[in-house]
Amino acid sequence: MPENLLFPLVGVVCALLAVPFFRPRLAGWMSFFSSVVIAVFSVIPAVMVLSGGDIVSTPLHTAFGEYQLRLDALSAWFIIIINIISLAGSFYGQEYLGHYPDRKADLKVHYALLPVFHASMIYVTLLNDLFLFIVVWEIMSLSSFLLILFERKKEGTLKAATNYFIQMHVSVVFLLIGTFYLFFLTGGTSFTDMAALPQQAGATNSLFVFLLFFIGFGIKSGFIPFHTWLPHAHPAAPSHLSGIMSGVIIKVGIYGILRVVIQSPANMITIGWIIMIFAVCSGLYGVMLAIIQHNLKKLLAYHSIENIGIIGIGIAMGALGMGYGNTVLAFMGFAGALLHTLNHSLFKSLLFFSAGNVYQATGTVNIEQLGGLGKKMPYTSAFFLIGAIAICGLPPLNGFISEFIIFSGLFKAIHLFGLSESFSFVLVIAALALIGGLAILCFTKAFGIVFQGSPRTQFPKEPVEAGWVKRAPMLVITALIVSIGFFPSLIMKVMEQPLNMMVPVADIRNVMSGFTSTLSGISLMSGIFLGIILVVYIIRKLAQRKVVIAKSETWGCGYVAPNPRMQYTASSFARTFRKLFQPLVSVEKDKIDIEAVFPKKVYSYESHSHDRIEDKLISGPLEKVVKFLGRFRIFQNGQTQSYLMYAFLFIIIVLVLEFFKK
Amino acid sequence: MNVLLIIIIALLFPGLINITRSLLSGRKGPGLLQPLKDMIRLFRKGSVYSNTTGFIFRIAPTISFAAIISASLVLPIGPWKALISFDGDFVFFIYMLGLGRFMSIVAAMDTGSSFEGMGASREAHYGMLAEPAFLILFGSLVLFTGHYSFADIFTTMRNGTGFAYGIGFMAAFLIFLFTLVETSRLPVDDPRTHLELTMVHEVMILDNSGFDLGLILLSNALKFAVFGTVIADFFLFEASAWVAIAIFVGIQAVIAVLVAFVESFMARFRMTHNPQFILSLTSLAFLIFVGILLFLEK
Repeated sequence: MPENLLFPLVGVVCALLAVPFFRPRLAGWMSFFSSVVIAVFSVIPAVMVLSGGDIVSTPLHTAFGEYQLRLDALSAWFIIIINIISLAGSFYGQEYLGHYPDRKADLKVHYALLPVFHASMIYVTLLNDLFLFIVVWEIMSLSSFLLILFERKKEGTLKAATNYFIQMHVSVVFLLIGTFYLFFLTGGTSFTDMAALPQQAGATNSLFVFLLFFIGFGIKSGFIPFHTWLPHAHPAAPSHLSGIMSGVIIKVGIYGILRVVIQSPANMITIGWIIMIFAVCSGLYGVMLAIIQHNLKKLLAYHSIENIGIIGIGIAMGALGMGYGNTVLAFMGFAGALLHTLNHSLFKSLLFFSAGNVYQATGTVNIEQLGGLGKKMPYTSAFFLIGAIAICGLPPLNGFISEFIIFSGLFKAIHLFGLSESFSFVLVIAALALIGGLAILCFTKAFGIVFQGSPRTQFPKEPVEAGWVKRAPMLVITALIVSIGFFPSLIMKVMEQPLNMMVPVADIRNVMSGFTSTLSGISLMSGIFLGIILVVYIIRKLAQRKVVIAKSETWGCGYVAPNPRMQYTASSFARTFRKLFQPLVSVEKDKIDIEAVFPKKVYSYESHSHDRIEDKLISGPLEKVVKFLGRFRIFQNGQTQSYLMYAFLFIIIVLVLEFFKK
Repeated sequence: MNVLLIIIIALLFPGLINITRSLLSGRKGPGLLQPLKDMIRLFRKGSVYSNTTGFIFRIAPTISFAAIISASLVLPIGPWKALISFDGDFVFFIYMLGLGRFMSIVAAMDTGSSFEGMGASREAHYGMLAEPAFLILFGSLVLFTGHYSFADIFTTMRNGTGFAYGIGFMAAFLIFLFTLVETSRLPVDDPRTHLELTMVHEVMILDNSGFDLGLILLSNALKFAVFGTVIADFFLFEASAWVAIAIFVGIQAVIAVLVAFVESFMARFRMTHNPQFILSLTSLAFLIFVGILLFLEK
């Protein structure tokens, strides 16, 4: 019974028909309930497939012809991720949106659309036919666009949402061109038709089709230089949605790329190196820009780009492994990519939820104004710390496991191939190590400034800890993060089926048997690490039992009247970095006059960071286009007489043309 | 066994550095056991905590210490196998040290002192710049030996040709410089300076006292001994247990004396020059890599 893939639609129908007719609070729980229905009916077949069952499929009779919903292992893996994060986000949203009790109509629309958005992401992974795929893809983009608009009265939200809307459609254009081109070459319009491309149309055409799809999906997942929507849209959205967007929506792009990569066996090596270049640039550029951000949510958004880069390195390595016929490399690459996809969606949604708690407690996400929240919001700060350690790829949490798998693959690759390959791989290793170091810099800054030290601003309302409805999903996600970190062998077993789509099953078993001992070594080390902490902590407690423990002010090196504004700021923490990477990251300082009676002229300073790629690729050309089109503005002068004259002129021209035609 | 050896080295060799430095500057110097005595005294003392700090400040030294001990568990010492050895354990090693650094930075930020924030920022930068060098170096060793764990790499290197020992020397030199960066010694950081503005590691721990400070001192000494062990492992050829121990202690002693020499005859770099120095480690690692590539005639 649960094998029918149309059942999740029950949840959507339920949401659309029922939710708008209830009071907001009840509507919210109805919306969550609908999501649960969707999740249950999609997770059951997904689990069946992941545990080794056959591909689940449901025929779809439409007015345009016969189609099929197909749930294979790769879809199943992404369905699991989508469901975890969407449910967590929906639950978290109940309390988050409870802060807007007077926006009844908006709330109802928002609650009704959340399950639609959730289901559309699931159906994207189920469709093999590209036209239907693009239709559902469009539903996904539109519903998320409307969801972002919730806080539209906040400055910049409308602009960010419009930006998102436009860029998503640029992505669709690429996908459509790709589909048409595919249809033109093979006569088919499904992902599986791509596999036949090299025989029917040659390798170059096949590569071209791949590139079209890669750019289309790359815009969605935020690869450099297609990332520019991401740092605007994520901060603008309400936090539960930022969590879902950063956790899952960009992963749907990754899903698309993986689908296309699997279907392009002819050009694996070229594809691998192309993705590798994009991925390494994304990883480095994403984290570099993240460091100089003052907006906590924007910082997290740039970090998503970095993590997409790490996932991309995994995919690229997998593709190279397939291209060179090395199954160990293919296994490590794809396993790292798939696991990092899951891991990133976990810790990034956790971080975004924490940022949401901070925003609702203080009313700002500007890092420079925050400080000392750790004492007022102990749970939020603990969640953020765990998310931060995980995202930096540090043991013993889950981020380390996926980065470790990718590192293992890279080290394996180093001595397998020729000179240029070896050299490229060592560069990737250096890049990945640098990304890790930069991430530590970034998150010690974020955590240290926001949650540590003393408050930098006096807020009108004293910040308070978030309620349990917000904390419960965060706790669940934390539990997942910790358990993946401590028991990586279990999650590797789950990944066997999805990996089987790329690597032959005999080889997986082969590599896995060797790799399991490595992973259990890591598990053991993590356990020992925890044990040592415990032992030393107990010794410390015993040693401190009899001695005097005093409290005092922070040592000011002789200065006796320090105040909170003298603390190190986020800008100064990142200053050395900014100076070192000056050509790549630009920060602009504005001097603002303060008008008051002072003995001398005084200024206040503001600094803004710039995304150079956005400036050069989007804003710059756009400005030129606007300037060019501005020349025609004289025609639109707002006078009815002129417009009547244009109509009159138009008729005359038509008549004259008609006259000459005869 | 290995950990015990490393801990003993860690307890004694800061003293050796101090003695050597004192002799070089014509003083008598404290005894070999003075740092150990300091630590013991600190462990028994009470503590003063800043009002600004929270739980993280109290737990961070413990976690950093545990991270360094855990990292040392994957290191073999010559004939003695590591407690646990797996493919890619050097990645685990360096990331575990990264976790230790993460915690100490976060703890420094907890005090809300601008001095400690400054030290934290510097520590984060230097760590970030140094990490790639270590991984590139081990990438070259993987390329050279075809193995992926500390134990296998060192065994292959020790049983190798003269070229292998050449590589070993260069790698040891690189790790020696890396140690100076990671353990905050001259010429990157001056542990004896009196001016907070020019400190890196020292300024981060201004507010730690008592047991926690003792733990931090011990962690730093351990870090030193752990890197010394990595260096020594390049040269511990197959020998009987006692000879191996003798060589191991000898190499650690040489490293300590070398550090003392560097500290006696060099001044600290200007802060802005530190990134250049640390980045040169990465280029050195690349040089080793290219050298191996050429040697293998790929």
